[in-house]
Amino acid sequence: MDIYAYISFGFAFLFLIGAVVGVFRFKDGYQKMQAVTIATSMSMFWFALGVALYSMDITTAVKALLVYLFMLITSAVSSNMVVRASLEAGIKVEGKINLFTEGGDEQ
Amino acid sequence: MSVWGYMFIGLIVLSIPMLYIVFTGKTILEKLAALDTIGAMGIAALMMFAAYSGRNIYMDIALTLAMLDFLGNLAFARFIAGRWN
Repeated sequence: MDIYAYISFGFAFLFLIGAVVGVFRFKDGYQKMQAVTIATSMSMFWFALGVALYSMDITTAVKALLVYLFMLITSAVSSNMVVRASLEAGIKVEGKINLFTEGGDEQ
Repeated sequence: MSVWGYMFIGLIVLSIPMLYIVFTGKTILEKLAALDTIGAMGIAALMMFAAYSGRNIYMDIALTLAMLDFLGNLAFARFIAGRWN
C-alpha cells in the first residue's frame, strides 16, 4: 500500500505547486484567492487519502477524513468572508466584470 | 534519506516563496492568499508526520490547527471590513 500512498502525496504536491504558481502568476488578489482556495482543498483531499493509505489504521483514517471535511467547509467559508469584506472595503477588481455596478459587464 | 524526508523538504521549499509574497505583496488579499497556503502546508506537514511516526495524536493537532486557521481568517475578514467593535 505504500506505493499508492506515495502516488497520492505526489498528486497533493502537484496541487500545492499549482497553488504557488497561481499566487505568482495571477494579477489580482481575488484571482489569487480563488486559485489558492480550490487548489488547497483538492490537495488536502490527496493528503488525507495518502495518510489513510500509508498507516492502515482506522483511527488515523477517520481523523484524516475529519480534517479533510473540516478544511473543505472552512476554507470556502473563510475565503468567501475575506473576499466579501475586501469587496465592501473597496479593494479594486481588475478585469471587466464588477459586481457592484449596475451594468454588470462594463467597468 | 527516505521519501518522507524529500516530502518534508518539498513542503519547506514550497513555503519560502509564499513567505516572500506575505512580506512583499501589494494588497492585503495577496498576503492572505499566501498565508492560507502556508496554513494548509502546516496542516499537511502534521498529517504527514502522523503517518510517518505512527502516532495519531498529531492528527488531533492538525485538526486544531485547521480550526485556528479558520478563526484567524475570520479575524482578518473583520479587520478588512473595519468593524472591530
